[in-house]
Amino acid sequence: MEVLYLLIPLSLLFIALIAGVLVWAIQSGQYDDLDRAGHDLLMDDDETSNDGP
Amino acid sequence: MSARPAQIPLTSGDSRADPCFHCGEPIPEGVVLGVEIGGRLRNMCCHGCQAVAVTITGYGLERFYERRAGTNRRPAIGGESQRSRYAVLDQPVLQRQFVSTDTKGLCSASLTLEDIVCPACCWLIETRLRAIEGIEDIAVNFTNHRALVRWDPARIALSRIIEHVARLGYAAYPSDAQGRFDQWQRERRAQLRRIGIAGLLGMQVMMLSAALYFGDWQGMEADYRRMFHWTGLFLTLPVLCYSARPFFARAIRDLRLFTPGMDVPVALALMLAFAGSAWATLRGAGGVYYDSIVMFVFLLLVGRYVEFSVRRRGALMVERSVLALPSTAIRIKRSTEAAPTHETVPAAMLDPGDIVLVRAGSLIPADGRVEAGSSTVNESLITGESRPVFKEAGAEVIGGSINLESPLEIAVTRTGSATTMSAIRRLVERGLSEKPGLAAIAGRVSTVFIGAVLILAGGVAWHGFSQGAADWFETTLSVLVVACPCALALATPATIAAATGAMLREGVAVVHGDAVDALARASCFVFDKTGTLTRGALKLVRIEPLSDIGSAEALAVAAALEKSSEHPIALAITGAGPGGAERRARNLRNFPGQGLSGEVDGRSYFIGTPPFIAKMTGRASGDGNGHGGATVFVLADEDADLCRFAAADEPRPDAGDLIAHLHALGRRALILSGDSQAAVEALHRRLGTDLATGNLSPEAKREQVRQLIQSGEVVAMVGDGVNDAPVLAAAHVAIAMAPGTDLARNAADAVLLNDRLDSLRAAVDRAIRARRIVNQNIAWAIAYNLCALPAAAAGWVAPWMAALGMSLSSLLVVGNSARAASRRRN
Repeated sequence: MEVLYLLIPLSLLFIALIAGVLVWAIQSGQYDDLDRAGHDLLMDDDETSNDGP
Repeated sequence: MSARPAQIPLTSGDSRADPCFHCGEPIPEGVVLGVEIGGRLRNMCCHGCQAVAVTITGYGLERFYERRAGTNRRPAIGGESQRSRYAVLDQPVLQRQFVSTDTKGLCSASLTLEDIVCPACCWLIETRLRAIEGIEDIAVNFTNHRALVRWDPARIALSRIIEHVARLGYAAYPSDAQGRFDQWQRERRAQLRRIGIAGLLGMQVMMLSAALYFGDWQGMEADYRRMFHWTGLFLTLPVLCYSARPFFARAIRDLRLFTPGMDVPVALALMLAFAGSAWATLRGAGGVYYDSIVMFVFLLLVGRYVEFSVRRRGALMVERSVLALPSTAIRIKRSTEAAPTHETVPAAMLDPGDIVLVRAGSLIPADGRVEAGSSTVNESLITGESRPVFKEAGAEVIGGSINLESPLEIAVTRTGSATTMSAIRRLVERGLSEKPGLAAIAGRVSTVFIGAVLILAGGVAWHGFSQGAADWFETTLSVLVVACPCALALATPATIAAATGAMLREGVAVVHGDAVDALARASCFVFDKTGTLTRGALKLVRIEPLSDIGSAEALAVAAALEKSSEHPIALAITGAGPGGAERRARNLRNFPGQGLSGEVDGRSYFIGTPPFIAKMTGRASGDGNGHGGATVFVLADEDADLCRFAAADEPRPDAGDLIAHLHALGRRALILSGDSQAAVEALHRRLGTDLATGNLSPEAKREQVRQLIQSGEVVAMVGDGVNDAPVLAAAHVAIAMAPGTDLARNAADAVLLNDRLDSLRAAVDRAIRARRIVNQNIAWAIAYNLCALPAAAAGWVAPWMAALGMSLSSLLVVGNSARAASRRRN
């Protein structure tokens, strides 16, 4: 079980990385509007035209 | 996908019994408008809806109609005056306040959007605007109805951007309080970071704790135990130093100000538990409680975040832009050589001495004195007087009142901070800073409780130590952790969050969390009259034919005469319903403040106040008063008086129910109004209120509320106008009606968004229920501790039991709090 002496510090390293990514995601505004993300998936983007009525 | 506006041939049994496809309102008789959407012909109720539908389908955005969650609001038709108002937004002086330019020359601004119904609306605006040349990027946020636009000022102007939004059927205006919005955004992100760290590290700590628990059960070598303890300590440190920092900061502030609050017990518990666990880790012996600590922090942070976001959502619904389509004025420049010119300027740029032209139906932009013209103005928002006031040359007018009948030329006397509005605004600010507070009970209870626990823990420690018990330290620590006030700390915020969220769904936006508690405890409700208990508009209440003319005929003639007037009496007549086919009046002459004359079908008629009729026809006439404060006016022709009309500001249909409900709850209802005593008396008798006083100035109203508070009542105030704002600030809890002035809305603790009094009734019920649930939560939290503490003092509680007990107890409290949001009516 001595491998734990390696694994646990390794997991701490991973946690630090994940925490960094989480903070980046929050700061870059990805958590700002949680309602739109799910909804926008439903709107396909193929067919809009710019010609006007 | 064609999108031609279509004419539908009239056939029997046609589908025009359907409501308008765009806005859902019924289609009026004789309106035949339609748009082909998705291959089917859809009926529209007006040119506004049709134009918007044509725009949407024309740009290939029909998917919007499939995905929207409900119908949209009927768009106002713009026209020239609207476009010139947008043009004001391009002025650099104004743009400096809300537009920022980056190094590449691109401008960006935050716009508040109105009439957003669902995420599909956001998608529609984003998709359409992105395709417009000159717009670099646009991001619409559904949660707070804000659009962040970046554009190239060389290729497109802001006014055009706003026009494009208007063509889609939404209103956009610059967000005021950009600073406040940014601040909210930063605060929210900070909270999410703290929750994220607490959650991530907490999960690691709990993983280690699970290992430790099994170790307690099955045995674990001391080396590994020591490693897990030390890892736990290092994982908990960031949680305490970063995520839990607000608790410590607030606790220190509370201690310095001697105010009881939940944060002192929380901070104490965290520190003591961590100190004890760290000491046990250093010693190499004894239980550690890192999992309880991080779980405690995590749960509390989540609870506070939920409460914060519900409150902010309410506040954003209430916030209306001070710059909303900024009020403009028409300045007249007179020179000796040329004809006088008119220029449109922002009202904020007027100086004393400027002469402005105020058309009928427009807002008077600043305090001033009438130079030319005569008309009546509506000062009800400022003074509460619902009857229009006659003004002619030499009369003073107040900035913010509405000019009703004919154009006035006004010399500006006071601008900016010297105006009447500003003086009232300052009264409001002073009132807000002196606002009476109702101390929350939970804070005091928890402080007393923690004090008792500390004494108990000290006693246990002393007893164990002096008895020479080996595990005196563990026992003391377990007493402290078991008493951890997690449930107690969640009791109030969770309930308030649930209650305010439900209230928002029902149309009441609560801006300050403690308004819920104050609303539940309010013993006395003070109402304004005009616009609050009444609709604020005159309605025809009686038609008395005085000769052998029929009332329908009299109404038709009167409607023809009053057709283009904006006077409240004219609106009452034209709003009284169709009097058959419309007649046309010719040769209309308006006598502001008195009446009109004109010809209908060749006969000459007069309509106006009885003294006016007497003057015009030479006959003696009765006076125009009495009848319970209603306004009386007469239709006459040259020979005889034909018909007497009475119009009054009718109470809202749900006002009576609300008063009755308040009485049933044992609360008092009062009317304090700036309107005439006669009108107030009439309303008092109609609604059965306890007390009614009229003719009150804003200061006098405030004084009355102060006296009520001094006599021990908890006062809730409901109002809408500028004259209510100082009073709103003085009451324990202030409620504003939605269409009220900015001043009233910003001074309020809660806003009735859908402008209905029965929302208030539902809100009061909910507040009372929420208060009951908070008391239940506190009772439970204390009962749990009373059972668990003796067990801990006896040494029976292991770390895992303490953690389990705390989480179950918190779950119970949160579950109970969710009941505050349930739809069940009691």
